[in-house]
Amino acid sequence: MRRVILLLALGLLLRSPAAAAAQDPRLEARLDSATRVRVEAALESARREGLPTEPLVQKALEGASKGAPGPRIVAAVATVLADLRRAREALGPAAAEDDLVAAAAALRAGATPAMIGEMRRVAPHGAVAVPLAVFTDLVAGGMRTDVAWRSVADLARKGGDDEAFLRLRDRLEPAPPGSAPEAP
Amino acid sequence: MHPDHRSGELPDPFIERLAAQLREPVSLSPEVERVVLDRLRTRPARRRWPGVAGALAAGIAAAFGAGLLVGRWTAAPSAGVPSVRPVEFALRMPADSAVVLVGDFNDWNPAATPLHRATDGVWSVTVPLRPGRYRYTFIVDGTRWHRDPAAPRALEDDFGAPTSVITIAQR
Amino acid sequence: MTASPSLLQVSPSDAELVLRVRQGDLDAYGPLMTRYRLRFGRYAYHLLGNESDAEEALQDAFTLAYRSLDQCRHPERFAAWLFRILVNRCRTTGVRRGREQARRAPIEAADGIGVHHPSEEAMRREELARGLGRLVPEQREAFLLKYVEELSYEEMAALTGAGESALKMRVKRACEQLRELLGDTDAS
Repeated sequence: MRRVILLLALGLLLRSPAAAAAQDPRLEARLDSATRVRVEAALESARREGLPTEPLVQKALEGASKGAPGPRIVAAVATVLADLRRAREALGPAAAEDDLVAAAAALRAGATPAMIGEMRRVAPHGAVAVPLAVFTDLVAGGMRTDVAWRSVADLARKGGDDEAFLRLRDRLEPAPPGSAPEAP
Repeated sequence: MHPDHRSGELPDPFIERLAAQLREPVSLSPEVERVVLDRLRTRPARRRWPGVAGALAAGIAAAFGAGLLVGRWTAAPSAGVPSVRPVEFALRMPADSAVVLVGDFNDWNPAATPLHRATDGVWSVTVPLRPGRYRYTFIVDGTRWHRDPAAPRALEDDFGAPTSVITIAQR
Repeated sequence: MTASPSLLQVSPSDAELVLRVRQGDLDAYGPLMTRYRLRFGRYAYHLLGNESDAEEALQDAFTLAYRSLDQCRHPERFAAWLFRILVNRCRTTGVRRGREQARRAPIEAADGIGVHHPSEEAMRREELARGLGRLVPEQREAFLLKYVEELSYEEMAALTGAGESALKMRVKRACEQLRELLGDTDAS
């Protein structure tokens, strides 16, 4: 009996910080256990791979708030994780968290990994978060992906700073339906 | 000659002369406006904008003007993290509504951030946000999801409900 | 919604008018159109080559802008938003007519009786219009945006969807052609 207790205590002491952190109280409060276990598995994978976890947590909470069924929440979290992995592949292992998050959103918006890699090369100081955020917003506003990309990439090549990207995004209002530019 | 400050190209006197001629006023019919207004009166096909008024959005932007940078997105604040800034969210809704804000900044918790109604019919709330990019939406009367008409639409629609995106600048 | 210092460059009158139109005041749209009819009409006229097409494109653009006003997220930048609509409508008008530019008929002599001698200025304008009409549409568009509307290549790229390099080439070729067509004596 004493040995069992000792082993249990040892087990608790040796329990990894990651495992402890995997039980996010926010998820415990909002997800059913089956969904929570699968989401936490995704979080664990993200941590092991050095990817940001908060976007996954927020996606799960968003799904819970919107009343989505468990499998759909799990699928959405898996998609975010996959996007972050693609972003990491495109940006390299040293990419900062905010760059990864912005790149993941840009990939969902239609940027290719090659575009992301190009942005890393041409953006001043390799800072891609701003250009990629502006790209994503432009596409979300209805601009064609290739048009949005050209605008952002051209400005990055010219050394545009954050203010310049902001001005670019503010200037480029999306065209209303029925007035989209023809293909160049 | 000085290069064109915008493109670095040297000005060309011949082309400049042509351009000057082309810049001279061209007078189209002054009836253009009347024709359009008649057309619109016959088929108005417009509805009042139910979301944030343009002036309000511009006012918000002017009040909280900043550059743009997606900052670090971490679950917990740490030393050296960019400072928090107040950001106002607003939506025009009828008086007998109940409007709440949910998003990445409040764990999508419908109980966390109710909006308050001002006398001009605009519901609003101010939220302190660190630089970063946040998905969010409004919930009206507990059941209707309403994206922010003044904000970019979030592209990904994983759960079939309208969502907006806000990016907070870092100075 | 983004906090942005560039939005401080406001044109309050445009924003105010847009707001009033959004609140149902159709009459507020008249002054907005009047404000931009001359400048945008000039662009449409030079691109399309005749008043009738230019007026049609302008009317279509104003109508579409009104019906889509909810989507103008920055009312203080209404002019830029409207111009984008007009550029696209001009392309549509040109394509629909099946030709790129109608030339104004030159003033002709009639049996020597009542001959009109056009002023030198009028002849120069006609010659310029003819030269412009000889450009392919993309080159004419690029030339007008660069030299008449005085946009940067970045703005032109966003407006037209073409890359900056392509636009620079179009402008360059337009200039070369105009020089050749209109006899640039300065170049010798």
